[in-house]
Amino acid sequence: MTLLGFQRQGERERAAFEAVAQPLIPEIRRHAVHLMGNPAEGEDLAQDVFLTAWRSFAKFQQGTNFRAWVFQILVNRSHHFRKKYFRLRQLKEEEESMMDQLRAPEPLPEALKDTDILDAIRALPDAHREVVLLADVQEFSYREIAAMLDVPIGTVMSRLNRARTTLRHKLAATAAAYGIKEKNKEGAA
Amino acid sequence: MKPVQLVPTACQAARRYVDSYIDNELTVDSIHQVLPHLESCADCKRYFEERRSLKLAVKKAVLSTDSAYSADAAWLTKTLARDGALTRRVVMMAVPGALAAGVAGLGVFRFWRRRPDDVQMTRMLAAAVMDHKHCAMGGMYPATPRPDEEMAAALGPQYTPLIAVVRGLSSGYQVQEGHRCEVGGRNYIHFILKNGADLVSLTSFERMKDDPPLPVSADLRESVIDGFAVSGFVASRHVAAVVTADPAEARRVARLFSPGASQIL
Repeated sequence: MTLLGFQRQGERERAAFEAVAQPLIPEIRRHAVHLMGNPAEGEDLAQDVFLTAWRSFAKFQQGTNFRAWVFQILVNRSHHFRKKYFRLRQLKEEEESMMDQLRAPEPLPEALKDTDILDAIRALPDAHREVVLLADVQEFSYREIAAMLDVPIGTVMSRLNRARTTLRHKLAATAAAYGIKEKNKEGAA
Repeated sequence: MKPVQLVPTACQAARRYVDSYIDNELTVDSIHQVLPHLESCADCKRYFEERRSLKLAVKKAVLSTDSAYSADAAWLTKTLARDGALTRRVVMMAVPGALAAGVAGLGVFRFWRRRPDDVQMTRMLAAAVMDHKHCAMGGMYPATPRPDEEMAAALGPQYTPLIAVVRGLSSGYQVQEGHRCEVGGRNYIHFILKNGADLVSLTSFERMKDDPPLPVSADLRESVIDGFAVSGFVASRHVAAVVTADPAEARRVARLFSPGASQIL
């Protein structure tokens, strides 16, 4: 093949990649920013994800799920980025305390703002935030998340359970700090 | 002191499934077990509604930031342009860089040729020490030795044969615990042995994609990291190590552990 032929083939591949990648830009950028908990690091990660996806595009098996493939790259690259930014916030897999198990659920006030919830998500340990974003926002199945993270499904479930419990406690504390009354506390009592 | 409000067992069982139910991950049979309870128990119904509203609130909050991220073709073009730009930068730096690297590389090569994987293996051994600190030093093992059946259930069929290997060490230690754990993003197979106040970890973990490609070798590699002595080896899929306070003891137990463990790991 001539040099011109290679160039045209490269252009066709690039166009094919851009056609499937472009619709994913918003959710990958958004996911990366929330995953890293920082706009600059998230943007850096998102660019790296698309660059990596483009460089590996020849390995992508046509007919399989391109979105899941790109998210898999995002998950892998995010682990590199955490090391890069020296933020090895290691997950402490502590058992949920007996008190948490037995405590009656605290009603989640509806008056909380989106920013409060985003702050609470940002404060989660990396491994918990990762699972919450993949499950609750991107709505991947447990099986898909387990494959992306290379962990058993049970680990996905336990991380999600702990993440949601932590979020609920944090948001209840935020509401209490605002002085928001728990609207259905009396009704439930 | 506030009284603890005890939740009945049926509630605990139902709540265990609530997240899976919310995420549409329950089988029909399990749904039939959970639904009647939620309909009859006000507390659990409230718990379910809390979790569901939390899930929706998380999604809504994250999606509320969507306006900042459009499907911008220019953004993608600019991002992909880094690919070519990087190549150009590399080529421009290649000529003077190659000369400097040649001189420096000769010295580095001589150093690495002696023990090419020393640094990498130390990184692997550090991971074993991290697990020892997390579980053994963190007291994450039962007060009385865990029975073999429970350890087998925790380890899974693939790693259950390790129990016999550990029991066969005749090392003077009591096998206190055998479990799988995750520390710092790695999954470990971890045995904790005890003799009085002395704690020994026999830990192994699968090598990850980004780990250095260390050659499989039963030769023991040793280090002292964060005050812990560690002696390890590279099996076909795992890196395994013995961590304790005393270097001679770590080596002795690792020598006993290595032949049997290498067959399984």
